[in-house]
Amino acid sequence: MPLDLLPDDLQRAIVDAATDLLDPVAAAASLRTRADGPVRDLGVWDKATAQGWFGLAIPEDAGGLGLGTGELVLIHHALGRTLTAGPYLGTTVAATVAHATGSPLLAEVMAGLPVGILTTDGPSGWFRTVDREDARAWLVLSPGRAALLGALPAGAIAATPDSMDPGARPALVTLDSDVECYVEGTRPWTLAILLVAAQLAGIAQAAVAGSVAHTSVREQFGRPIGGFQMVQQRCADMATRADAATQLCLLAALTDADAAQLAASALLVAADAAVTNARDDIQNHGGMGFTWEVDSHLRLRRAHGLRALLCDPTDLRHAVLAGTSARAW
Amino acid sequence: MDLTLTAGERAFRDEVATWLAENAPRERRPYDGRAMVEFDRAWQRRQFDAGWAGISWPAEYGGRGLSLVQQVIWYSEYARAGAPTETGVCFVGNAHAGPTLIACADEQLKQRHLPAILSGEEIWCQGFSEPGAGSDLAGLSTRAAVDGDHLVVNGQKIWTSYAHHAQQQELLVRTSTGARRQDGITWVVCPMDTPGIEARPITTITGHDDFCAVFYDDVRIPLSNVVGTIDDGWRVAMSTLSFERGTGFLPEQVELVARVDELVELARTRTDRAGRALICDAGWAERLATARAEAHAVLAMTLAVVSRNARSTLPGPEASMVRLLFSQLQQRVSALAVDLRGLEGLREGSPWVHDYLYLFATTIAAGTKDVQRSIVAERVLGLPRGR
Repeated sequence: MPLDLLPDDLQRAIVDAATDLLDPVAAAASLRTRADGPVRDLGVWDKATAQGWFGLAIPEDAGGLGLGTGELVLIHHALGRTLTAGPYLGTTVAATVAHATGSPLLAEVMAGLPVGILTTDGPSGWFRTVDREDARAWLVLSPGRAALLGALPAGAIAATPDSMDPGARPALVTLDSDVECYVEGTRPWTLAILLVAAQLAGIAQAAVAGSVAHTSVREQFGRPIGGFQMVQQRCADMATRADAATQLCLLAALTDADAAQLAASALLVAADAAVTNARDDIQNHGGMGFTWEVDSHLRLRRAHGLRALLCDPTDLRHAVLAGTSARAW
Repeated sequence: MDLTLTAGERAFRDEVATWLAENAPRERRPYDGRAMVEFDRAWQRRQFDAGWAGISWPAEYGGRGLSLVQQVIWYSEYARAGAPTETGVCFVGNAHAGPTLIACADEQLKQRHLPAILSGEEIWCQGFSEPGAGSDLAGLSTRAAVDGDHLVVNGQKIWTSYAHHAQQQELLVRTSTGARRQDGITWVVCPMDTPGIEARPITTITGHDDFCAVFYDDVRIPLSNVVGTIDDGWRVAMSTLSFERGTGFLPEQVELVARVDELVELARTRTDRAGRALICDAGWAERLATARAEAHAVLAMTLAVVSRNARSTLPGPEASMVRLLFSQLQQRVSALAVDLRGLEGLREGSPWVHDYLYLFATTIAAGTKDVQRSIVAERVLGLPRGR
């Protein structure tokens, strides 16, 4: 039916096939280790490429799968939920920019060329990234314009101190000359905002699952702690936040007009949901939640990293409050 | 995953929006008294005369039988036209008692009451809660004994909205003590002019008489007014819920988006002592941005519930999550409306003070937020039962 927010069977099947190749156990283990070198799991990256992830929303006549933003949201939700780190966001958005500008990079990007995101850092010419170790091409992204760049000279990338987010490899990036190939428009930024929101919604959902799993089996005072009212109420609020974030991401994905306001709203709701749920999940795990080995803190760390990735709270509020309210139907 | 409307649906939307723009009441709904009752009845009658009453009711009972998509469109345009979204005197008949009669009553009861509900002629109230049975509805103790071909009712109900204006009541009574407390409850249509009934209005924190205590002193109701059978009432009461497809609060949810817009505008025009617009302050901006984003989220969640219901016959428990977020969001927005206005925000009799106080009901009535959380924990998440 129209006015239908949920995926149909075919869309479900596509997303299930995609998320089947994600491995949350391996992803968490690699986040805990924080080894040098690329953040992305190369095996998963190659399988994702082969499944057509990076051309998912590119029209079929340009070599893509011709699906939509809704499917992208579902995949990025799964990336967040499974703690899968790597330049999935940059590569996905880069494909749409490459397609929109007719760039020859499109074929390479859809074939798995990892594209990192550069956001501006105030002083002119400087950029920030968290994709230092993975990127072989770059997407310069700001609210009103975007540009695709090829590989950068090594000297352009200066590592900065580690982030609490173990999926991040932060760096300051300086370019020799001004970027000239900017394309004007808000769509790449809006898409990036929305897909970050989707990942955060996935983290929020994973925190719920983690809490439910633990509190269903952990017993104290002769019964599972998930039966105690305080724990139940905390989990119910977590579930509500995660559902709000997830459904708003889908709604934002399906609207064209007012997409910027809805995407920003989705990021606001999802970021709060992810951080708050991750905190609550640590609390629900009690003493175990305070340990390195339990995944709960990894979700918290990733949530903070993703929340800070693209824009600061002031800019986000402006994007939500601009104009009158969006109307989705 | 598709929000696009067909040409037919767009035409329907235009038809609905036009009718509502031309016919929705212009004046504000009175807070209580005869003026309020006449306001609600007149609006119900106007919708009825134009064929818009009972939009979700089957056509065979005088309803419009609209599809789920059409219902979403109607409720959305209803709110956008500024039509009244307060719980009016026709609410129980249209949304609760009427659907229960449709699901469970015999033809005689249906013919007698359904058309009168739709036209606004017959006002209904709900005799469910008691002083000792609020969240724990199954603990109700208003008793009814069979005497010949009548039920004789003794006891007391409370939080009976508009009982002093109603002609009929959907009444839950205890007819026997069974193995479970839910067994032994009977659902009966109670005419409010039956001798022995006294409805005493209760003043709520708003200062208005929003509901009543109702006392039953040897009230004789014909057995033919029982819906279902004796001791079968809990099943009948639960059947009402299966009618709800997720659209119940949609008009208020769409309206809330517009409310937030008004407050954003207010924050743009009101200034602090230094002459800066309030919206430039991060504190106000945070509250407003969160309110707007969450208002969008609520609509998305409702659409998800509706989408799920379109695919299955049984409403899922996910609607409780929407209820949890929406009710608390309404309260936060009502608090913002007061806070943004400074001293003027305290004006007794103002719409924003009334709403701020009235909206305590939204996390108390129809399932407290605490009970909603338990429902989410147990039925959505599958956590072990706490109670």
